[in-house]
Amino acid sequence: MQTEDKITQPTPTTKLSAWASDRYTPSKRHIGLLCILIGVLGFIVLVSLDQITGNTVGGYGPSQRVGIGTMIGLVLLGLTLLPLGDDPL
Amino acid sequence: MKIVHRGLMLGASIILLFALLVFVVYTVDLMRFPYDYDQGEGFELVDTMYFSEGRWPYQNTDAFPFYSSNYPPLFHVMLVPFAWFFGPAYWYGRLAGFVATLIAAATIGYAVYRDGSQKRWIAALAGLAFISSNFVYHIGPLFRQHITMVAFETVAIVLLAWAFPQRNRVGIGLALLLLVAAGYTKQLAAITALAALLWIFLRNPRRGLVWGAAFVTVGLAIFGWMNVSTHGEWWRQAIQANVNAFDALQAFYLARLWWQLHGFLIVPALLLVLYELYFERISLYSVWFVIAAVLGGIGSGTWGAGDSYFTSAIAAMCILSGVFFSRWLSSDWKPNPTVYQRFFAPLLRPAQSALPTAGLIIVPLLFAGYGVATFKLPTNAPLLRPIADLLRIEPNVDQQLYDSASHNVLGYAQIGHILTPEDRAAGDYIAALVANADGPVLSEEAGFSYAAGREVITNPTQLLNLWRAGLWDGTELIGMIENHEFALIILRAQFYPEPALVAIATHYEHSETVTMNGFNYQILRPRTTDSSGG
Repeated sequence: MQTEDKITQPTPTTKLSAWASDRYTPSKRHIGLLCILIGVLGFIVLVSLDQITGNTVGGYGPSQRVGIGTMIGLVLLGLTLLPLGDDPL
Repeated sequence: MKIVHRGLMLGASIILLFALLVFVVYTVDLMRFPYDYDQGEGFELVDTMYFSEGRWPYQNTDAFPFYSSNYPPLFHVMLVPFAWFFGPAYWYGRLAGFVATLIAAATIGYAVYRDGSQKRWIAALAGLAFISSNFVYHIGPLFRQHITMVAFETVAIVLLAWAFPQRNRVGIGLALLLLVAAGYTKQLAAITALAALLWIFLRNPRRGLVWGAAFVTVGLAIFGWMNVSTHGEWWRQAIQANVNAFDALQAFYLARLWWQLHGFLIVPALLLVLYELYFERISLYSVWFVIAAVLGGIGSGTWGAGDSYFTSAIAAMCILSGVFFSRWLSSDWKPNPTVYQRFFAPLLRPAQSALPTAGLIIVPLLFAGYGVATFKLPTNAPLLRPIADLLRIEPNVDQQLYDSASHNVLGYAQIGHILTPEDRAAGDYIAALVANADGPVLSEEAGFSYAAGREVITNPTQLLNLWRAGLWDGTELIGMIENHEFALIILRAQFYPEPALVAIATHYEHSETVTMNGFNYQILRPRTTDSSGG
């Protein structure tokens, strides 16, 4: 079978400056930060959804609650990944 | 301790091998039955016959014979040689499902052996665990494309998990082509494709983008060709009509049942996911498991979906739990030196020597517990009846079946039982009514029409999907009903669009009810005096 690199497998790097190289792998810290970013933005959007749509009767719906819970979970997951530093994902 | 371990492993093996035996008995029984067992099988056969004649089954459903498929073509195309040799028959579609189930199970076993410290026995039990699942048992031996999709997915994932880190281009390309094949077997494979693309992107964004672009290009090229060839009906029938209503309660109850039946292996699978997340690199199996469980679970709540939507997650669960057990028994843990490793290592040090020994007891007990949790047994099968008597197992659901899941969960398929001679006689009777009918017959299942040598008219659930999506014009069909152009109408679940059902109720009257396979088939004939008043 053909291989892209038959002799040696390049060592992965988690340095952001190498993001376009075929050696780059996101670090767990990067993914943690991404989870926090998505979680916070998602939380803000879901919490303010009723204000945006003008549908403020009845409070949060079941899907909205699940979504908010998921966003909080995503933030917590991201926080636990931050201490892993440059560990490749 | 080794002797105790082997004894327990033997016990777990007997339980899981028995599940395989039940699965084989069930499959052989179904292969001998020439009518629909699970509603919709007949229309998969119709699709196969269309392809065997070189025709697309994606057609305009507003004109006679009002038929269209709502599934991708690959499963049916694979069966075309059988259709050429044997004509319309159910057995080869059910055989294909059975073989696909075995391929998926064997691939799971191979993955556990390759990626989990080469433990042959554990690998074999992981493969058997897949077959033992109640959800797999349901869908495996049916003339449905679902398990073939899962087999394609499993082979693709296991190949990609090896080929991508190895940078093996042939392997990566083949794995992605298998994912395309899975997608053109059933649309639900999009979930597994998403997991695979996400994993290769996270592994290396550049290579992920290149391979992802190639994958999407091939998939879209086939899509475009099919859409042009079918004058847009592929898009309307297989995509637009498949956006169905979501029932959160159904999704919740099915997810809970999935947990109740498979918890013995879900927990070890989750432990490996967490271990990989915090101590090693994330494997493709972990990404597949999480995404397939979450999105498949949500998808199981849509109209027409059910427990089968968890089967991809079950395949991933079997691989992950098998790898976890193998590594546990081999003490094959190489955690990265992270802050968590530094924290947990001293805590686990006192138990370090006891853990592998505990694994010798716990691992086979978990497999055995899983086998008991997923236990099902048709008590009326000749080969199984003595075992049921010996174990004093009584049916706990209808149709002489013991099913650990019971049949009280919304969306759980109420099948798995063995057919009786009375079921066969009832099917033959309905087929004879169709054969002797003085005109075309509108049947909610296709098997009777094939048995009677009559043309198959309509695919009711597809018309219902289209009607709900506002894409159905029933003028011609309703006109035929109003004009009594159908000599007979056969209803089972009444999955026609409401306007068609109203027309049927108005212009046809109940003649008799025939019970087959636990379902009541209503035979309707034209009213002698029209109740419409006109």
